[in-house]
Amino acid sequence: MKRTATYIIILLFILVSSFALINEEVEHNVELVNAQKTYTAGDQIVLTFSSSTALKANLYVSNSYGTTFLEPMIKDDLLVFDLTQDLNHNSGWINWALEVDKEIAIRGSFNIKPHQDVAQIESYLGPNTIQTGEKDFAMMVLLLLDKYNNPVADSTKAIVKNQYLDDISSSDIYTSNLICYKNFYAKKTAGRALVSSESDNTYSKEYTIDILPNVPIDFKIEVNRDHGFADGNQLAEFKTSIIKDQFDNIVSDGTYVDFFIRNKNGDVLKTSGVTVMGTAIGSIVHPDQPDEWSVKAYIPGMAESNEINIEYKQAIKEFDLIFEQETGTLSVDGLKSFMNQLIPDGQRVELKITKDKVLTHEFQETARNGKASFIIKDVLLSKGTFTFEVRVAGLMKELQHTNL
Amino acid sequence: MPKSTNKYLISALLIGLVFHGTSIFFTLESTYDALIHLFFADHYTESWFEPWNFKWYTGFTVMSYPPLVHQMIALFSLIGGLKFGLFFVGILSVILFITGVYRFSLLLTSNRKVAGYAAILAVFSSSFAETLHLFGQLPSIVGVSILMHALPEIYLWLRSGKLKYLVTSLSLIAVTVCSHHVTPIFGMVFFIFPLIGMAIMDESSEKADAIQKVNFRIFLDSFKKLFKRIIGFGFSSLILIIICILPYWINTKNNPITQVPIPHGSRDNFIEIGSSGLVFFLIPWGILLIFLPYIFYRFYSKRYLFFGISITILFILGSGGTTPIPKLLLGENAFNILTLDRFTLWASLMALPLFGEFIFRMVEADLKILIVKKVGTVYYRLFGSFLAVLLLFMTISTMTLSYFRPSQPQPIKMLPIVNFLNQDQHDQWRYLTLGFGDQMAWLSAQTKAMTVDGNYHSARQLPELTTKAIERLENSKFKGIEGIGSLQQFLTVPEKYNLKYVFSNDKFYDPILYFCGWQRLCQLENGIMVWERLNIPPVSSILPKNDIATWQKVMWGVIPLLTILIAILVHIRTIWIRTMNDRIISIPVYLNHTNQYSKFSRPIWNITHIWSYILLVIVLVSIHKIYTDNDAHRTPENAILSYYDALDFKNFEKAYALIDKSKSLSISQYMLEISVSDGLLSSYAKLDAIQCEINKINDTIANALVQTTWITPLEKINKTFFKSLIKKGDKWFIKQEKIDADLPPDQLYSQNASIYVNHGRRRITTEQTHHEDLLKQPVIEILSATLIKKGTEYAIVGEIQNVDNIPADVTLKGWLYANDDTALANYNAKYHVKHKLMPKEVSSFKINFEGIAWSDVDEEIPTTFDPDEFTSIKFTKEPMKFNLHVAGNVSGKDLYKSLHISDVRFDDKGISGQLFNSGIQEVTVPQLIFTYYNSRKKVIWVDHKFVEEGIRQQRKRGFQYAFPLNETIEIISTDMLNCLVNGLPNVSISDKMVPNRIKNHVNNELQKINHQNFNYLKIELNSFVGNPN
Repeated sequence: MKRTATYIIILLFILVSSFALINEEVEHNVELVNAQKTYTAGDQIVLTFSSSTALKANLYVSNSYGTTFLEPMIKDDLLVFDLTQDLNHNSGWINWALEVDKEIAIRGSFNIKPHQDVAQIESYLGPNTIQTGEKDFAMMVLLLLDKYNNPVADSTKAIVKNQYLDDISSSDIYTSNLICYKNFYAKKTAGRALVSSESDNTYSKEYTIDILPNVPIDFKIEVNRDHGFADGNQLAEFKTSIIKDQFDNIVSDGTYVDFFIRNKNGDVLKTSGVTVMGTAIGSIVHPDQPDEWSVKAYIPGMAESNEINIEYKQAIKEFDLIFEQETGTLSVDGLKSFMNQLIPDGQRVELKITKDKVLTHEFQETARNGKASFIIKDVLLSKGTFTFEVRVAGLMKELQHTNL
Repeated sequence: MPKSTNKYLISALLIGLVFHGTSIFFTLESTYDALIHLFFADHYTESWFEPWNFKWYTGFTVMSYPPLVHQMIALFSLIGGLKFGLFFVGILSVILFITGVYRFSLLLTSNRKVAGYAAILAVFSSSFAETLHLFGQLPSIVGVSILMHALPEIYLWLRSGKLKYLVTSLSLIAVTVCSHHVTPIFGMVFFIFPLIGMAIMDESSEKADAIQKVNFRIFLDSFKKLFKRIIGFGFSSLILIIICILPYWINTKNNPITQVPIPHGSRDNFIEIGSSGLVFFLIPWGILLIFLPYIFYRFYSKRYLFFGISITILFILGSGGTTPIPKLLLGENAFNILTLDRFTLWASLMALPLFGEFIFRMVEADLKILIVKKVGTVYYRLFGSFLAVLLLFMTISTMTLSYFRPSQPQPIKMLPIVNFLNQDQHDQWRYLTLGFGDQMAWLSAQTKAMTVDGNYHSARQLPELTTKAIERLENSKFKGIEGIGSLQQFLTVPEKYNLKYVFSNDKFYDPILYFCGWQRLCQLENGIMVWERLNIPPVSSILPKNDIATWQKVMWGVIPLLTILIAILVHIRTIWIRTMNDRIISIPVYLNHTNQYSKFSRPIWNITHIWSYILLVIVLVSIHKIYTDNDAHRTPENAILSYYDALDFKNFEKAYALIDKSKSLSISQYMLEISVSDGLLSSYAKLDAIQCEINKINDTIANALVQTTWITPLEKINKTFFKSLIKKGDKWFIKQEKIDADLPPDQLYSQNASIYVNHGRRRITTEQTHHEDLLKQPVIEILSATLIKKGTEYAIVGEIQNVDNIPADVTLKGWLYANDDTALANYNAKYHVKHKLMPKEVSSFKINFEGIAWSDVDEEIPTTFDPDEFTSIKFTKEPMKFNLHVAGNVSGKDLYKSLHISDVRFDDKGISGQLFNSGIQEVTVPQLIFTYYNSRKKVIWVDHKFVEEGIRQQRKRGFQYAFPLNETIEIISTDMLNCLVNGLPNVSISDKMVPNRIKNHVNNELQKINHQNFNYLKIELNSFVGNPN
């Protein structure tokens, strides 16, 4: 036990004395000879240190790009570090520390200022499309750079020019916190504005801002159709007036317009159109039975049109219904339109067959040459009384047939 | 006795090289597997030691397949490119196979002539031809060939106990292991065990002087004598199997195959599914079927007894699901993982020596005498030529099967795709191919771009793939809706996989691409359509991978080729002596067990003779049955079935032949009528099931109720047709239906429209788009968004509007959160939104939260897949909040807006109505989007319908739609605080773009409906134009 304690004490002693060894201060008498606090980018930068003894020293240098070690040239007992080659381009603070025998002997810092002359302009503009009115704007941001790509000193002047229609305006802006910027507010008329900038005989590229129309306002619609009969074959075109925004700009091409059509039953039909030069056309085929439509167009949430009412008159006045027992064919004939011409092909003919007042079959055909026929031989195989109900163009005819 | 070169072997090699060496250039590239091996080889050329491959499945390890053959191809590709390597190794495998069969036959029959015959027959072996020219399974062929080379060495080791034979046999086993892992494992059981049995038997027969005198006691004694050698060989080869491909086993253990088994034809019932029976039974057995009695008779002789047992088991296992025995033998699990065709391959290879023996005996030994004596020379010659013709027929038809029944799409020129991927940094995104077949592997080998798909299903990692029984997304249409279901998950949420480009070689997939929000970019010179999706971030430059220890990488890169080097070094002495020395140094002991072939067993000849006739009858009966089943006019059922079959395969001439021509319908009129009907059903559907109920009215007239199920890329369509049939003469014909007589108003008309072009880049530069050319993202406003719960399903519904002045492509992504802000799920809007919006256009949307179907392994997978079947996510907590992100991107494509509603009628059950196409394009797939509102006119549900037929210009098309069933809809949250547009809050956008919005503007124009849960309805239209012009 006792022996162990002794060992521990001896070990502790060794440990403590070794700390003392490490902590022993080495005094280096080093001084910066050419103390200069500011340089300009591109200047020659040489740090010279005087030393009483010939020293093994390194200079630890760090700027905003990173850190490096430099080795000295020894000249007349002076330690000379040349930073010109690698470190004199980038503006900003440079911190340095001189390391002697793994000890920092002296530290300091200096500032490199950018060159006064603007050598290039880095410019950004966005967004490149804005909306008319006085709210929306695009921002031009300029970085004025010296020949070493450093942002020039604050309060350097730049001139920003702006062409819009016949008007060319120019304004001076000054850099602050490395950049300078200008907001271009939209005008009331849609169009294209060009923007440029210059500083110190350096010029930017041409930039474009497209000022696009604002939200549309209410408009009018009208209908174009060849006749007012419900023949299910001609087109009705709903045409808007030229749709504009509140500043009288024609809305952008492609603006989508919904046309809601409410028919006699209160059901909603729909067509749509997209604007070309402000006008949208929504077309729809005529109904195949008499109807009354009220039509209204919307640009949802933004604008709407007046409501127009149009009427479709009965085109087919009557038709014949014939049932042939042998072939089991039910024929619809004499489908004539408003001038007694055969109704154009494609007229919908519907047949409902009820047997003993229970609906058993439904068929649909399209008329061709004013006729349509249903072969219903297999429907009539069972015995009973059949009722054929045929609807064409809002007209209805019934026929009864009894199978014995 | 001076040693002479075996002229039979030499001719076998010459014939084999000419025959297979020539044809391989026309077959190998269109086989199932060859290009996959090529892709693996390409991996080794690029990074020999790094097993991780990023190109497939978002990354997988090539340690999932033994490397030797791939590395050999890679090595030879250094001389003349990848394909040269492939063909070179292919030809090498032919040589190895023929010599392997020779040595195996020599071992079994102890007769050089017989072995020579067997080698010649091996050239024409249909199972070999199938494996090489149809399946392209090079590693499997190399593996089994080397195994056959190893068998004599193993036998010699067992009999002589000389260590050099142990070394030679082990060196060959090592090569086998490195080329194919399954071969040595099962080869042990099915080839080496019977070989050991035979060695013991031979030992015993030498001890007892004659094989007849061998009894169990003697056999046991010999077994004891050889036991040490057997154990020695067994253990050392086991160690080799483990060591040689140790990284493979480690990988298998770390990434066990937990995926849903992929159906394979070799597990089918061959009688029920004739095509599988043909490919996996008839072809590989081929002419050997005739000799089955002889083969079994010989294999069950005392010496070969263990081979007899082995080949019996192989025969049964190879018969797949025809009998329940294989499943019982292997167990459910192994049965579903193994492809059983290899058992048939091995059985047929095992039978080759005896086939050779039979032919030898027939051509120049006892059987010839027997036949000539029994039935005369003429019959003998006839029989011989019949066999020869049959042998050649089987081989040639096997090799040309893929010509007559192509299993692959036509060869695709890859260069334009490779160029496309290299241009404009397109390879910074992942791509997907559709309809490429196995050629996708060839594309992957040529480009450095990555795909989400892949062609080696054992290496799949993504649960979206492993939980479904589909090999690839690429051919998902053949996997029915299950495949499509998997594909649509990738297409709906492509940003998850950085998937931006789809190369489509099959227009079948066009609708699903369109409705998932994809747009056509361009058609390449080779006819491949490129689809792109906007708003996808590029693949990050650092990708995760499963890294492994360096020693494993080194083992993987070094050992396989080392085994070959060692094998060559070990054998070079023997080969040298054999070729350079005329004297026979020593006769191998297996040549001592010669057979005299003096008296062919008469009953066996009789049985073989009768068996041949039975086979002939079976063949004739099957042909007759196939003929009557396919005779389209024989019954009304046949007529209907062949008609729809013809329509399904677009074989219109055949369909026309089935139409009743009494109304003087010319084929040109018929074709015209067919050609004008475009749409989901006629252009994008595959017939899945058909049932036909015939109601014969009298002898000459019948009515048919045809219930069909069609798989389309979008949904499953059930459609019922009524057809009338008429009998003329003794043939049934189908009456043609009337076609829609709708006549458009105008002949020539014009339409003004805004069309757009986006240069992408105005300056030609390889830089990323210059900031001046960056377009502002179009601004979308979210008008309303609500989280709702319908049954157990959650969805976000609402409306968006493009409030900008330019057309927009929209992507909507919704997130669900629990009350404590735990993220629960996210998903994109799929079908329920118009993905392309004109300026100021409004679209309703619904985001469903779809889970990965059947991601739970224990979950029972439905036997039939329903595309509309929806796997809702299993939520750990109740979703209470939501986020909605909308991104707009400039797009000038797919802006067709000329579809309108020209008529509607409502009843309590649903809507019927008419659509009208007023524009200048034919709408291929019209879609209706139904938005349901509650009594306060708030959006609470969105539904959709695809109209099955297309709508031509200025024409009408009817539609029917049934309201959704009554199911209460619960509004969970209407808080739109976390709705973002292009990364900015929706509120600020709304305030800036449309400050004076007229709230609920079109509410007055909503359709009032009679429904328990819904009060109002709005219908929007979306159209897919399949062939824009």
